[in-house]
Amino acid sequence: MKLRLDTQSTPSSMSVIITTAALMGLGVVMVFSAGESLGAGPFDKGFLASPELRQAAFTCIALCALLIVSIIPSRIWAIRKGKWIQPVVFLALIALTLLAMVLIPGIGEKRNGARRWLNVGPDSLGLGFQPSEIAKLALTLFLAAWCAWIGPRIRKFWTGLLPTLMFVGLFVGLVGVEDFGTAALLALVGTCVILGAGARLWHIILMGMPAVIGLIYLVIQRPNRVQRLLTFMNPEADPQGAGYQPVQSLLTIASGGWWGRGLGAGVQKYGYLPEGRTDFIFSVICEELGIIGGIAVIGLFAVLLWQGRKATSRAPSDFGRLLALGVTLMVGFQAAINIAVVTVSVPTKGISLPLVSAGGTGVIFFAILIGLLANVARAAPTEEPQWDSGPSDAEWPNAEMAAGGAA
Amino acid sequence: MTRRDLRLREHLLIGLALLGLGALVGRLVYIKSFDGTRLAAKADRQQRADIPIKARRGLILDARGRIISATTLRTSVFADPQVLPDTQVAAETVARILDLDPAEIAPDLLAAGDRRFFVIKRGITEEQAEQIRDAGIYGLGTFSEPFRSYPMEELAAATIGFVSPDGTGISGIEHQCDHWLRGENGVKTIVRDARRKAFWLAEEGYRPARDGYHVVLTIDAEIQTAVENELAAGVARYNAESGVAVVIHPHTGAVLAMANYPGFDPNNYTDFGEERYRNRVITDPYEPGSTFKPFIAAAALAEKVVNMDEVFDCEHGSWTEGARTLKDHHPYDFLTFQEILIKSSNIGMGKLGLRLGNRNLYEYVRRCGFGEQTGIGLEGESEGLLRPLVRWNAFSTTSLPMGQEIGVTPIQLARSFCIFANGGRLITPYVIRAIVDAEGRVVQDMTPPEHDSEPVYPPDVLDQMRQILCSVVNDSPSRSAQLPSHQVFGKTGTAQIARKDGRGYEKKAYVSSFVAGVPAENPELVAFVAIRRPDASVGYYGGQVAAPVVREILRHTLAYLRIPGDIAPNADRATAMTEDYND
Repeated sequence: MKLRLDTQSTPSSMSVIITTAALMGLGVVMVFSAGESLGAGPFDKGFLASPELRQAAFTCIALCALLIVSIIPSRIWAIRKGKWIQPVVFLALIALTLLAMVLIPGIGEKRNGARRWLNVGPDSLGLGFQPSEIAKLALTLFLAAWCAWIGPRIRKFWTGLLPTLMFVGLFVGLVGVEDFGTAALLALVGTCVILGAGARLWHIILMGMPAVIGLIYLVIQRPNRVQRLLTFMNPEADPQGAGYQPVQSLLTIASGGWWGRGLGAGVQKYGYLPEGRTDFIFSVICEELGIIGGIAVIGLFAVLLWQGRKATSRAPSDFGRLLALGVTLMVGFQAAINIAVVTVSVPTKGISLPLVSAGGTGVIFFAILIGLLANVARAAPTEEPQWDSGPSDAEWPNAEMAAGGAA
Repeated sequence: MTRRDLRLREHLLIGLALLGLGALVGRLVYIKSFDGTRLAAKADRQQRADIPIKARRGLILDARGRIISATTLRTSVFADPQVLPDTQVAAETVARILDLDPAEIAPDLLAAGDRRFFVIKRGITEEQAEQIRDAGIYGLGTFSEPFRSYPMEELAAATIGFVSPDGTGISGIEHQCDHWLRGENGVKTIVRDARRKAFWLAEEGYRPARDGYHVVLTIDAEIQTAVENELAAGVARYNAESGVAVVIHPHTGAVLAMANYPGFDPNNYTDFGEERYRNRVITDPYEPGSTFKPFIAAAALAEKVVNMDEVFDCEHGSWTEGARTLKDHHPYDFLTFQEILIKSSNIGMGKLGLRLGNRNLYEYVRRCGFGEQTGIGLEGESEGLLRPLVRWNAFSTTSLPMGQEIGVTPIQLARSFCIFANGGRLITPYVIRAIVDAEGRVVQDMTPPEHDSEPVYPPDVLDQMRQILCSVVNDSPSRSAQLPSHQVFGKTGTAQIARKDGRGYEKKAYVSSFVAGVPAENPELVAFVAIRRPDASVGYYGGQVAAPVVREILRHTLAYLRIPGDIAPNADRATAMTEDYND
C-alpha cells in the first residue's frame, strides 16, 4: 500500500486544529496559573517534577501529534477486507492488555487512591500514563472500523449488535474497575456511535436495562460513589467532608464574577480548591477569567462539536463518518461531563477537561483523536451533501465503501 | 434505515452534546445570577481576614510639652497552641531564651486549649525576640504592640491615672480622656491561603489607623516634681500619714501642680493599694479649721459688721455661748480684728459669726465656692460637705467661722483663696488645657470659659485682707513661710480629725495645713499644703508642719517661673506683734 498524505486543508480542518490549539494553549496558561502557590514555583523544582513545565512540554508534543495525525490518512485504521493484518485490531488488543495490566498490583500504580497509572521508563523520571486514555482512542477507532465493516448487520441483534456491545462492554468493564467516570463516558460514546451506525433504537433500549443494572452495581460496589451521590444533593451540608470539593468549586466559580479576578489573580487555588490544575481547572478559569471566560471555553468546545458535526456529515466513507462522530462525541461529552461536575450539576466524578486539564497522557491522546477528526475534515468535500441530494433512498452503504481507501 | 435517517441520528447525537454545553452555559449564568453574591461572600469569608491596625494612644503632655504618659512599642512572644508540633520542646526553647522555668510555661500552653493565640510573655528584649524567631518553631512567634509607659514614674500619678493591660484608660485622665487618647483603630484586610497564611493585601483593604490625640495639661512637670519632693520631705519630717499639695495660677485657674503623697508608680500600678490611686486633692473633703477663717473675716469686713481696729474680748481662752464653750489654744484677753486672724482666735471668730448671722455666713461661704464642685474638669470631684441653711443648728453660727462643720476639698480651698489673689473673682481651676492632634493643632480647647463674675469681696476688703494675711506670715515667731525676696500672704490651719462615729474629735490627730499666695503686691501663685496625722510629739501646728513645705514649693516655683521679687533686701517686715504664733 502506498500511503499518500492528506496535506490539503479545508476551512473545517483548519478550524478544528486552531480551536484545539487554542484550548491547549489556554490549558498550559491555566495550569501554570493554577499551579501557583505559596510553595515552590514551577522553576524551583526539577523540570520533570514540575507539573506546569511537564504540561507545557506535553502540549508541544501533543500539538505535533495533532498535526502529524491530521495528515496521515485515517483510513489506514479501517478494516480491510481479506487482510489478516489489521492495525486497528492490534491497537485494540494493546489497549485491552494495558487496561488489564494496570489492574495488577505491582504493575499498575495507585495515585490518589485509584490504580490508574502505568509507569514508563526509569522511576527517576516519574513518567507514567493512564491506559484509560488509550482506551478512548482504541475504542473510538475500533468501533468506527468495526461498525463500518459490518454495515447493515448492526441492525441484526445476535450477529451484529451483540458482538459490538460485548466489545464495548469489555472496554467499559476493564476501565470501570478503577475509573467509573471514564467508563461511563466510554459507554455513552460507544452507545452513541452504535446508534450512529444505524442500530435499532429498541435494541439499544433493551440492552440498556442490564447496562443500567450494571451501573447501579458499580455505584453500590464502592461506598465513596454512594457518598458522592448523596453529597451532590446538598454539598453544603457537609462542607468539610464529602461536600468540600463541590462547595469549593462553586465558591471558586462565583468569586470571579462576570469578568473574573484577572489571569493569575485567583485565590481559591491557594489550598482551598483541590485538583485546581486537573479536574477542577474550569473553576479556576471561571474565577480568573470570569463567567464570561467560562462561557468562552464552552464556546470553543461548541465550535469543535460544530466542526465535528460538519466533518461527520461530509465524511467520504462510513468509517470516516463514524470516526468523526466518535471523536466529536468523546470530546464533547467529556467536556460537558467535566463542566457539569465542577458546576455541581452532576455528582463529582474524576474526569478531566479535555485538552485543558493538566495531564500528559490526556492531552496527547486527545490531540491524536482530534488529529483523526481533522483528517476526516481534510478528506471531506467542502460542500455538505444536501438532505435531498445523494443516494438518500438508497439502501445501506456497504462495507466496500468504508474500505474505499484501499481500492 | 436510510442514509437520511443516519444523518438525522448524527445531528441528534451531536446536537445532544451541544445542548448539554448550552445547558451548562445556563448553569454558569444561574450560579452567578442567583447564588453568586452569597457564594462570593462565602469565598471572601474563608479567604479574607481583617487585621486590626492598632491606633497609637495619644500622649499626655505637661504644660511645656514634656511627656508624662508615653506610648512605646513592646515586643511579646506568643504561641499558637493548636499547631505547635511539640509543646514541651516549645516551652523549653522559650524558657531557655527568656530564662524562665519551662515547667511554668508548658502547662499554660496545654491549658490554652483551642486558642490560636496565647501570649507567653509580654515585654521581651529585641535580642530575645530574635532568638525566638531564629529557633524556627512553627506556631511560636513574636509581635509588637503599643504599650503605655510613664517615663516620669510617680509624677502626678493620681491625676494622670493609668491604663489596663489592653490599653484602655481605667483611672484618672487616662480614663476621663480615653475617647480623645484612644484614636481609631484601622483595619488591614488580607487575603490568605488555606493554611491561613496571608499573601496579599485585599483591594481597598487598607484603612489606616487614626492615632489618638494628645492631652496637654496645665501641670508643669518641673513644678510638680518640686511639689512632690517637698511634700514627701514634709510628710517624712513629721512622720505623718499622708499629704496633699496644689499650686494654682490665681488669675486663670490653671493648676500648675497637684500632688498626693504617698503616690504610686503607674508603670506597676498593681503593686500599690487602690487607696493610692485616688486624687485626694479633689476627692477627699476635710474639716479645714483655721485656713477657713479668712473667708469669714473678709465677709465680716464686707458686710461692715466690724472694722479693722475694733477690739474683741477673747474671754481669756474660754467662752460659753449658749450651750457651747469655745476654747482658744492660747488664752487671750483683748485682740483687735486683725489679731484675731493673726493669732487665729476661735473665740474671736465665733463672735464674728454671731455678728454676721447664719444667712450671711451661708451666703458668703457659697459665694466663695464651697459646697459645690470647682469645675476642675476631673472625674471624681467631691463637692465637699456644706449643710443647707435649714439644717444648721445652734452650734453652726460659731463653728463655721473657725472652719468646723464644713468639709472642703484641697482644690476648693486653694481655689477660694485665689479670690484674695486675683481681685475677688471666683475662678474655675483646670488641669486639662487642650486636646491636640499629632501635628500639634488644637482639636479642642479645654480652657474654662471666662465669665465676669461679681467680685466676692469689694477691693478695699481684699486689700485689707491681704495685708492681714501678710502679717500672719511675717509676724509668726518662726516665720516659717517667709521668703527673702517675695512677700507671702497666707493662713495656717491645724484641724482636729473628727471621729468616725461623729462624736467630737480624735485626740492628737490633726490635719496641718497652710494656704498662701505670692507675691502679695501682684499675686502669681497660690499654694496649698495639707499634711494629715503628723506625729504630734514632733509637731502638728500648721505653721510648723505645712508652712515650711509651702515656702519651699513657692521658692522653687518662683525661681523656675522667674517671677520678680517684691521685697527690698534686708527690709524689716515684722509688725508689732511677735509674741507667739499659733493657730
